[in-house]
Amino acid sequence: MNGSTRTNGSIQANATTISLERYYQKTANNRLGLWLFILSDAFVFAGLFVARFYLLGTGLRPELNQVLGLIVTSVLLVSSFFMNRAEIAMANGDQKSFQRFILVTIVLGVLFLAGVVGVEWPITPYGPDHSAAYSLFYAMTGFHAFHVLTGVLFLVIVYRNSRKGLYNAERHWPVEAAAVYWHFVDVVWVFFYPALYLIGLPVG
Amino acid sequence: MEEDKKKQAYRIGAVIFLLLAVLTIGEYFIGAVAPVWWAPLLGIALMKAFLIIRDYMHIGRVFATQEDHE
Repeated sequence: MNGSTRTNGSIQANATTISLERYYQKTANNRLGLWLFILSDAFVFAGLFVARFYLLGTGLRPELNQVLGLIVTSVLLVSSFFMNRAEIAMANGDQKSFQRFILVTIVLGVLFLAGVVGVEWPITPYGPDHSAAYSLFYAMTGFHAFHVLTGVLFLVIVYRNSRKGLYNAERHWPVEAAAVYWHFVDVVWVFFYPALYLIGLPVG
Repeated sequence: MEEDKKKQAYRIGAVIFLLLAVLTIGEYFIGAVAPVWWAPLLGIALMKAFLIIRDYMHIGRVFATQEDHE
């Protein structure tokens, strides 16, 4: 009886090890796929970034509120900090901290969206039909905001799944993917912020 | 041991955040004082992107081997 229990236990342990190895292999493939997606998405943002300098050069920029720009940039930066903490918490099996940090990240993401689309757009003196430069400003911030929105939805799904207990310290690829995607959205803003708010003098 | 690793990971995340915050404040003041200095502003953006991609996005994991996971 004891021998049979021991054999069953060792078979189970072996199955878990093999299954974990497969999971790691799958995760390695997933990582490569995600980074290829990010690279292709980055080219679209790079096109918008280059178009801004083609239209306005380095001497001019859209007439925007620089303080508001700093505030929304800070909000996104802090959200990245909490996203990083959430990922570390999950990698260490700390579900409670993970859920707390991911909620903070979601709230900050919504605040960023509200700051850009809800505040910056209405106070910008010109609409997208004013000139090519302003049309590009709305395209850049709009396209980025859409990515933030999809990131927030991604985080909400991950949060819900974690509440169902679908992730643990060993298996949490969706959490890692959500974190990488969220930080990518931050990296895009790292370039858009100086391009739109800092470089050049305001143009009407 | 695990607790030490966790604390160290949190510490690295916090240090990177502080560096990003300092760079962001720096670029804000450069933009406010000398908005035509586009090269330093883009240089700061590149530094920030490098820190995020390396330490928050963990690009190194893409090149990790099976043994690194175990």
